[in-house]
Parts: sequence; C-alpha cells; structure tokens
Amino acid sequence: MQDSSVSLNIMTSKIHDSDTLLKRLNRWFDHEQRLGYLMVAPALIVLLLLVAYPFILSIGLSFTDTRIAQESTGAFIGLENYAKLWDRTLFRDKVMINTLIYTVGAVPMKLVLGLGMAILLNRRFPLRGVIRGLILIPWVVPTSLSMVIFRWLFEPTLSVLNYMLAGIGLESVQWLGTPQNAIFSVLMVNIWRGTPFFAVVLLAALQSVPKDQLEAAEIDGANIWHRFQHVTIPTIFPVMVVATLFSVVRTFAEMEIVWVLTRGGPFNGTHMIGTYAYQQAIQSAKIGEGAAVSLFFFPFLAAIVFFQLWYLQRRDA
Amino acid sequence: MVKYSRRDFLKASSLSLAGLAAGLSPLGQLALHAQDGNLSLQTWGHFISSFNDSLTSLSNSWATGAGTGIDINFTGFDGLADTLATAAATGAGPDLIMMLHARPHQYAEALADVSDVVEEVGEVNGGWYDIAKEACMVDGVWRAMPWFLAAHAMIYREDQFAEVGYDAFPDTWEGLLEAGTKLKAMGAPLGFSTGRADGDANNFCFSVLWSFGGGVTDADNVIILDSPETRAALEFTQQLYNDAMTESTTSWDDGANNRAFLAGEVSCTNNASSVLWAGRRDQIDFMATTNHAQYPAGPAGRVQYSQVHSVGVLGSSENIDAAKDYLRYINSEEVWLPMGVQTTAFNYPLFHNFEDNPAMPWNFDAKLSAFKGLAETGHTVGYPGKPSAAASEVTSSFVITDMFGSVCAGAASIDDAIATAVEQIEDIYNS
Repeated sequence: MQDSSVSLNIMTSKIHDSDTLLKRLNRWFDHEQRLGYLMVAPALIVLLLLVAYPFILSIGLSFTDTRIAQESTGAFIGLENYAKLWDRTLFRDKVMINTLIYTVGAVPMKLVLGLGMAILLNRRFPLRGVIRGLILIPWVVPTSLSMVIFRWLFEPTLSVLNYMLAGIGLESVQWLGTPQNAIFSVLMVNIWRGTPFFAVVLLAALQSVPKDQLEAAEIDGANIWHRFQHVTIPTIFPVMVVATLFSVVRTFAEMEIVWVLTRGGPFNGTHMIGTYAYQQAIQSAKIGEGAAVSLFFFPFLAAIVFFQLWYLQRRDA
Repeated sequence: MVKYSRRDFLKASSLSLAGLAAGLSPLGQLALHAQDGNLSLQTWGHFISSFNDSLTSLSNSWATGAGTGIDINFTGFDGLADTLATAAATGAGPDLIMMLHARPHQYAEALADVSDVVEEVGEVNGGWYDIAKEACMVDGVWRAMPWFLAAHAMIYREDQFAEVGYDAFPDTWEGLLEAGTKLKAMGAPLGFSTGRADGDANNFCFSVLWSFGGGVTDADNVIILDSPETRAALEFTQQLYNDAMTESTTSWDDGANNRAFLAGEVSCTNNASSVLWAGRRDQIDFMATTNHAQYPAGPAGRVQYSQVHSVGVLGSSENIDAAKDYLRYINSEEVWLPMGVQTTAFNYPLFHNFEDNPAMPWNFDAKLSAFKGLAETGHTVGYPGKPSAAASEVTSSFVITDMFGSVCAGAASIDDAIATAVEQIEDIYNS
C-alpha cells in the first residue's frame, strides 16, 4: 500500500513536472518579441548566408589577385584591381558607359510607363482584375525563358518583328547586329520586363491616396492635372522613390537580359557591369577581378540609396 | 473542442519549418550525398539526342559492371563553364566534367593527372593527334582525356555554286570571295558568323587569321597580332563581308547560320555536320544538292581552328580511380565507334585508329567526306603560340571575333580594331 502510494506520488510528481515544463515552454513562446524574432530568424539566416556573407567575401576577394584553381594567387593587392579596371579602355569606355546608358535610359521610362499603367488600372473597367494579373506576366516569367523568346523575335533570319515590318513595306532591322541597335533592343526588353513592377507598386500606392482629399481639391476647383500634381504625387512620392531605388540597383546589376541576347556584343557594345563581371570571374576564372567589377559602382549606388532614404526621412519629418 | 489559436499555429509551423530546414540544409544534403558514392559526370547535351541516350545507357552498363552508379548531367556550354569554375573554386562538384578548347590549361591545378589512362588509351588506339596534346597536355602532364573534335567544314549549295560557274568548292579564300561576289549578286550570299558565337565565329575568324599567316602570339608567346598578315586577313574579310556576305552576321550566335542556311538565305556557311543532319531530318529538298568542303586555304596554307572536347577529372574527386576507368571505357572502340557514328561526323576521333574505319560517316557518305583529315590540320587556341589559360581567355572573351566583326560592320577601322584587340590581349597575357 505504501509502495503504491509512493509510486502514485512519483507519477503525479512526474506529470506535474512535465506540465510545468510544457507550461514554461508555452510561456516562453508566448512572449511576443521572442516569437517575432523566431519568425524573422529564418529569413535573416538566409539573408546572412546568401547575401551578407557573399557580399563581404566579394569585398575581400576584390582586394586580391585570386584566380580560380591557381593556388599561387590570392595575395592582397589593395586597390590594384580597381585601378586596372579604371585604366582599361574596354571597362571605362564600354562597360561603364553602357551600364549608365542602360540604367538612365530604362529606369525613368519604367517609372513613367508604370505610373501610367497604375493610373489606368486604378479606374473601374470590365475585367480589371484579370488585366491586373496579366500585366505581371513579363515580371514573373523567368528572365532566361522570356529572353529565349526575345532571341527569336530579334533573330536575324527568322525575326517575327522583321516579318511584320516587311508586311508594312519597311526594311528589316538588325536588332542585335550593331552596338546602337543592340543597346536599344536590350533597353526595350528591360523596360518591358520591369514596367509591371512599377505598375503594381504604384497601383498599391494610388489606392492609399485619401479620396476625401481628392474630393476636397475638386470642390476647391482643382482640375485633374492639379489634383494629380498636388494631391496624388505628394502622397505616392515615397513609394515612387523606393520603387525607383530598387529599380536602379536591379538595372545596374543587370546580367540575364544582356547575356542571353547578346553576351555583351556586338564588339562589347552591350557589355555591362553584370556581364563583364561574369566574363571575368567565371569564364576567365579571375574571381578577384570579377568581384572588383561587380563592386566598382557600389559606393556610388550606396550613396544614391543613402541620399534617397535620407531625403524621404527628412520629408516625413 | 481543443482551442487552437493563431499563435499556436505560428509556433507549431515555425518549429516544423525549422526541422524541415535542417533536413534540407546543405549539411543535410551533404549527409545524404556521402551515402551515395555514384560517379558524377557533367557533359554537354549533344544536339543529336540519341548520342545522349546512348551515353547514358552505355555508362549505366559500365557502372553495373564496375559495381557503382553513375549520374550524368547534360547541360549547355555556359553551364559547363559555370560548373567547372564553381567546382574548382569550392572543391565540390562532379567527378568528371567536359571541357572545351584549352580549358585544361586554365584549370590545370584543379584537375587530376590522368596521364596513365590517356597514354594507355592513346597507345591502344594508334596514338593521339597533336591537337589533342595541344589542348589537354599541360607542362607534360595530361590534365584531361581528349574525347572528340567538333568537326567543322564549309557547307554549301552545289546547285547555286554551279549556277555561277563553280563545279567544285573554291580551294582558296580568294576563290571563295570571287564566287561569293557572284552568288550575292544572284541573291544567294555567303554567311559566316562574326558575332559572339563560341563555335562558328571563332572557327571562321581564327581560321582566316591563321591561313593568312596572322596569329595572336608566336611560339615564344610574344604578341604578334599587329602585323601585315593580320591586316591582310582583315582587309580580305572586310571585302568578303561587303561583296559576298549577307548582313547581320555580327549578331549571329551558333545557331543563326544553321537557320539561315536551312531557310535558303545563304548559299554557304561554316559549320559542323548539324546543318546536313537537320536538313535530312526535316526532309528539306535542297539537301540533295548540299555538300561539305574543307576550309579554303590562304597565303599561309590551309590552317583551321578546331574545337577539342575533353573530359577532365576534378582533383577534389573521391572517385579518381573509378573516373579514370570510366574515361578508358568511353574511349574504347566498342563505345566510341557506335556513339561517334551516330553523330554524323560531328564527333571526330582524336586518335588515329578510327579515322579509316568503314563505319565512320566520312568513309561512306560522300557529303561528309570533306571532314576526313581534320584532326591532322586543326589547331586549338593559342596557335601558332602555345595553348594556355591566357589563350583560352582571349577566345572566351571574343577578342578576335570582335576585331573581325567591328571591321566588317564598319564600326572600326582596321588599325583601330587591331589596336583595341592588342590592348585587350596584352591585358590578358600580362595579368
């Protein structure tokens, strides 16, 4: 009897202990801040491993003469890679200039077209929901897949575009055959691909414009343009800035469109930071130099990001 | 009923995801991989799919006999370059990988010494051609097993050439210019890629350069590009482009000339046997009057750029002995011959014994006879200098094709094109 009551006490005590442990765990997870960090942890780990770590490694590599599969390399050489790039005519006169033309040409167009699309999609019309989904197609289709299609559109012999031009009595165009045509073509493709991003982001911003402010402005006699200029634009301005920021950084680092369509040709006429970095780091196995190419504009881009975010903060204040 | 709140759901799902992530993490995958001792090969996916099927089937037979397994990953040329760079840098990747040009020179330190098996295979098969040694031997050590040459020739329309008075393909570049001028006037121009086409453009531009006596470096690796011979080659090509060729070849990739020929847009181009293969498959009527011819000769003779495909064993592989045994197998007569025959003269043997075998297409198909002897006359990157990592980089950076292309398109004068190319080559060789 005494043994069974002792066993019962032990069992009860164990059950009581496990309850307490479970309750303790529950209480621990109930803490909102802790749960929040736990939720964010996977994404943070991914960012650290796949973004921060490679970024820091790249910075380190860019200061060395590291070549893949050559153990005698890897010495610290300071800014020599950057100096070599600056002295290289191909980099200075082609890669840098092409990248700037590409970015400056594409981003404003994407912003303007995206805003126009967003304004139209903000209105009521039949099948609006379907069209809102369809406009995302250029942005969500894998780039290398859509570039295969464009490759066919620009194909010298079998170009659908040239077929249509011939149909209206115009001459064929060498879409990728000259440096000028090629950079125009890749620019157009980039605009096609990137405009939906602006459209969707700015559409969301437009929907947050207070209707009562627009109505008040209308009552006060403001026409459509004035309402757009003095109510809509100031409201969506921060979103425009952030979207433009993302697009500038993304366009600067563009690689897929150019590589699939032209591989940087003809005659380096479309070589950009992204494609040149790939060529140097992977094809030529000069990974130190490739890292330097990809980071060459980092201070400039960081300054743009800092300035824009500072401006937004100041504006909000 | 048990109350299950949103918070409970979040807790449970986050813990589950954490567990899943651990299992799928690189560590988890490595643990799985360690149990799988299969040999792995990354190779180019041949455009003739039956070659890929045969390779897979024969490799599985070898693996069964060897008491192991083999995983074959087919990819494009860019994929091979990416994998090789990654595997060499990290020490993790396939055991065997296909390489082009003189990549064994570029990655010599990351590749295992395969001299024993390569010498053995060479001896059994009548010895290697010099081009195989150029591409795969680095400082006296074989760093890759030569597998095949991507055989290249001129493909032309006999009927159209006959219309302008040519019963045989011109033997010289000057002769081709003459014929091409007449053909273009007739609406049947020539077409040679001067764009970023790894195979066709490099084949055309380097072959013209070398057959006019020009070159990137000499036997002592001194840069000799700026020479009267190079100027002569560029002047010739500029005239060929203006008087005999179709426009837009500066944007041609490796498939564009195929499509142009099969569409009847050009009367002649340079290519592997893939055009004839595709034309026969699609039953294009003018295949009956299509033929191949050797590359024309220039003032310095008939010198042709040739693309060696080799297979290397990564030094970090844990299966080097098995990999060498596999290399021995794929170059054996019972494997190489039937697979080579399937490729309709695309795969050209790099050892002497198979060339005269009656089963080889150039020995029974008159339209493929021009391919015979290519391994003897072909050279790889770096000629007339030595193949090297720098020579490989000059090719993969399209320095020479850009030089030719910019002159043809009028984007640069001959002097400026040479100066630009020399600056890039000096930068490559000096670094």
